[in-house]
Amino acid sequence: METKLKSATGCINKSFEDLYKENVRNVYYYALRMLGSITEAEDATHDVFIKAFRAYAQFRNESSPKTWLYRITVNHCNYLLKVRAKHPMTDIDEADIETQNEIYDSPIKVIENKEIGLLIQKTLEKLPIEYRTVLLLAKDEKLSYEEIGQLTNQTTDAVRGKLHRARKLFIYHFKKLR
Amino acid sequence: MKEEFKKKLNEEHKYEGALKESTSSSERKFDSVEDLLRYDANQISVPEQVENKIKKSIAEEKSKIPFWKRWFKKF
Repeated sequence: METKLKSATGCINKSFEDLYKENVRNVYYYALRMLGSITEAEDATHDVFIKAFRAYAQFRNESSPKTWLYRITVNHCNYLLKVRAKHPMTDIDEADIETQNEIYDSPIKVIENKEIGLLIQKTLEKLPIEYRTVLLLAKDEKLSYEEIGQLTNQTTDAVRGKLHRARKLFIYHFKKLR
Repeated sequence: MKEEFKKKLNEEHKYEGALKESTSSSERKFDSVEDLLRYDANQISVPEQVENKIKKSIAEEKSKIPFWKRWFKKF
C-alpha cells in the first residue's frame, strides 16, 4: 500500500507514509464504530488523512504523530456526528446498572464471529458518544490514559472513571442485545 | 510511559477479573470490552477504495503546491 501511495504521489514524505501505514486501520475502525456506516467511515478516513497531509508540514511533534492523528480523527467524527445530529443516548438509568453486578461479572460470550461486528455496533450506538469515544480509544493498547485524556480534553482520573462506567454500560447492553 | 501502559492493561483486566477466558467450538469469550473491540478491529480491513481515493487526493494536493515550493524542497 505504502509503495502504491508513494508512486502515485511522487516524493510523498516518508514519515507521512509511515503514519498512514501504521494508523489507517485504527482510523478506519474508529470512524466505522463511531459513525456506524461503512460509507461514512470510508469518507471520514479519507478526510482525516487529507487533513493530516495538509497539516503535516506544520506538525511540531508536541505530541506523538499517532496521538496527533487520533485528535484529527476524534474531532472529525465528532463534527460529523454533530452535523448528523444523531446522539444515541442510553434509555436506562446508570445507577441501576451499578447495582446489577451479575450482569457484567460473567464472560462476554459471542456465538459466531459474523455476529460480533453487528452486535458491537448496536451496543456502541446505545452508549453516549463520550463513552463510545473513550472505549474506542482505550482499545488501542498503545494509547495511555493520559493520552486519551489529552484527546478528549479531560483529566486522567476522569478518563479512568468514564471508562469504568463505559465498560459496564457496554456489557449491560451487549448482553441485553444478544 | 511503559509503566503507564502496563497499569492501563492491568486495570483493564482487573476490572474483568471474574472473566475467565475459555474457548469452545461455538462460543468465544473475551476478558474485557477492549479485548472484544481489538478482536473486532482485527476482523475488519480497510476497503481498497479508501486507499485509492486517498492516493488520488494526495496527488491532487501535491499538484496544488506552487512550483517554486516544490523546487525549493529539492534542496
